[in-house]
Amino acid sequence: MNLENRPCTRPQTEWGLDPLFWVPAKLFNGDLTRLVSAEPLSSTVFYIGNQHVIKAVELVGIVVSVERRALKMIYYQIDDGTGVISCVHFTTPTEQAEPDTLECYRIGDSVCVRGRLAVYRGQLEVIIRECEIVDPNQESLAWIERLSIRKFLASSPFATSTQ
Amino acid sequence: MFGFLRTAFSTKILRPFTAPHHHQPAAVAEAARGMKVRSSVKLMCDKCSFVHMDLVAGKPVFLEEIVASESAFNGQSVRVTGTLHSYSPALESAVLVEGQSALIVDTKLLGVVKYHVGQTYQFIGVLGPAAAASSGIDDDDMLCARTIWLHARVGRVVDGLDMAVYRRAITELRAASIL
Repeated sequence: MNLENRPCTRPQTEWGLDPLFWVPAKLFNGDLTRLVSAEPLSSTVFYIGNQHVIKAVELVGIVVSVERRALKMIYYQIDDGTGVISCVHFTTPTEQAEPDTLECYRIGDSVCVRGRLAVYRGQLEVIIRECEIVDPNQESLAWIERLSIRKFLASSPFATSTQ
Repeated sequence: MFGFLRTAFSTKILRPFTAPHHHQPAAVAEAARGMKVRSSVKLMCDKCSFVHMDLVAGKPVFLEEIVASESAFNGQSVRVTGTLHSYSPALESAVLVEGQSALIVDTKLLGVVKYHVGQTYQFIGVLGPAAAASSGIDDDDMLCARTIWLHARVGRVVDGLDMAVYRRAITELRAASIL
């Protein structure tokens, strides 16, 4: 069942009242493909569920593709069973100077990725802020956790007491 | 004579037989975009876009479902989990078992990996027709040979995975129509 994403009717100055705006939203990859862009910040802020506003996500899945571009960035593709999303890790100057310190995940690793959403060349991707290897059992747990959050997103609208 | 051959195989004559290049002339593309482009930045038409790997998500399925309806899963991208029953280095194929069901996994794309019989493995790949050369498979393993194999592109060891919780989670996701 697709999550019905409705644009937020509240002004931009009140988006911060939604707690989801400030935390990485725990979502399925499949739900990310149907996000609605929030104008005028269409490439960084998105609407999800019943008028909720998000700008960062937390994903749990398996690394199915790794692509290193020189020492500047590493492209990962994460598969959680519901979809595949591109994640980009921009290396720091320290990591560029000492490539041995650069941690590169391998295909088959089960990872938890936190980062902000961005649109590049028309494709939605995640700019990685944190990434860690997790236990395979944590992936099962993440599915159940996201299922619960998904129900909340669909049912509870982002509205304050004044509305 | 040689002059004729040189003419016959010159690039000007051969050009029509080569694949037509799909770049638009710079002037046409510039007019279409209505702007000037620096010489260092190459214009690209729609067909010139970067190769983007559209990987399909591996939908988690159970082996007994594949065994029950093989034709329904043919061509699908799936994620399967099971215990490694045997491995054939010559054919680069593994036999994965879960309960009473078994599936042969083609591991050619995974490279040289050390497999351990009895460990729990998870593979992501596409279900397709069985490989033609299946003569090297043991008679015991042939009993579980199906018309379709899993052509794996991702493989990993998931020892310690709680299969009861895993199955329950997948069942809940299916109930919510997410998978």
